[in-house]
Amino acid sequence: MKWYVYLLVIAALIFLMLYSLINYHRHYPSLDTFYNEPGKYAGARAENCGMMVDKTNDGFILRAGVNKILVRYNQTSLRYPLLGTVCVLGTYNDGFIHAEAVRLNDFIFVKYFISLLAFFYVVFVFFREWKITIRGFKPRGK
Amino acid sequence: MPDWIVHVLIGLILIEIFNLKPKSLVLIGVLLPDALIKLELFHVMFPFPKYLFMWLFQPLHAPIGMALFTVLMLPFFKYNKAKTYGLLAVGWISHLVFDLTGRHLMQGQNLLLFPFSWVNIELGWVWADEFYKADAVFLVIFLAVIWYNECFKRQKS
Repeated sequence: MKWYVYLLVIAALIFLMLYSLINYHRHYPSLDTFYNEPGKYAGARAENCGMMVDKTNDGFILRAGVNKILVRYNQTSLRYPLLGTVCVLGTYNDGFIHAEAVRLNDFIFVKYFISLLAFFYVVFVFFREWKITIRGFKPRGK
Repeated sequence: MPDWIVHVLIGLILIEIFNLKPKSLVLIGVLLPDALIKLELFHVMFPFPKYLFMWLFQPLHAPIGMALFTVLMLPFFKYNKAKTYGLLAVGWISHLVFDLTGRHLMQGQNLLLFPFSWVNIELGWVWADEFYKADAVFLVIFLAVIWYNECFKRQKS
């Protein structure tokens, strides 16, 4: 394949990645988006997943990336997720999220751990079939 | 979103059924759509800008992004280019198709029509934390396929 084809593909990928990064907040407003323009996104409905860092009388504190926010959720039986994260569907308000639904992702860290095992298996199979040379990967036995 | 064990099992099932070789190309393809987008998981351990990586690499979890990214992988393999592309594509297509079974409150990562549409397309069968159900089902299917192939080979010989 000609070098300019690769250049075009790289340019197209960079365009798609930047397009995604610049426009996602219009479709899926994140906590970052809300913190940057709280007035604009007040009342917007969104899903946020992260760590439940503390429980309060009327809900809990959610940490999603670098941001923390109070989630108001009126359910007395709410507990911390077991080895996992929490996802919240709700509307942004001044300083808190009013939750419609909360999903505890119990044992989701176990999922990430066993996924690592699958990754190591794929790496093992890969290097059983391919050898590294200066010009790239070559099938073993050729 | 199912775990990688399920994706790898599905890849292995396809490899067994269609006798795909070299099988590592299918298995690499199986993990490709998640490989970069999973950098967002750093947010679990560290105060990390979660959405930066998630949305930066989101196009690589869509058919158009994967079709382009696979082209960039070709120079790294001294092998038949069409076959390399095809086997990698079998892997990532199986990944994207099986991700359709996922269930989310609202926002999944199956933007199959990206960049033309931002709609998350999914069937909503399995929550992310119910990965063990899919693991069990596909482990049984994988073992059944292996058993069938062994019986078939023995009958032939």
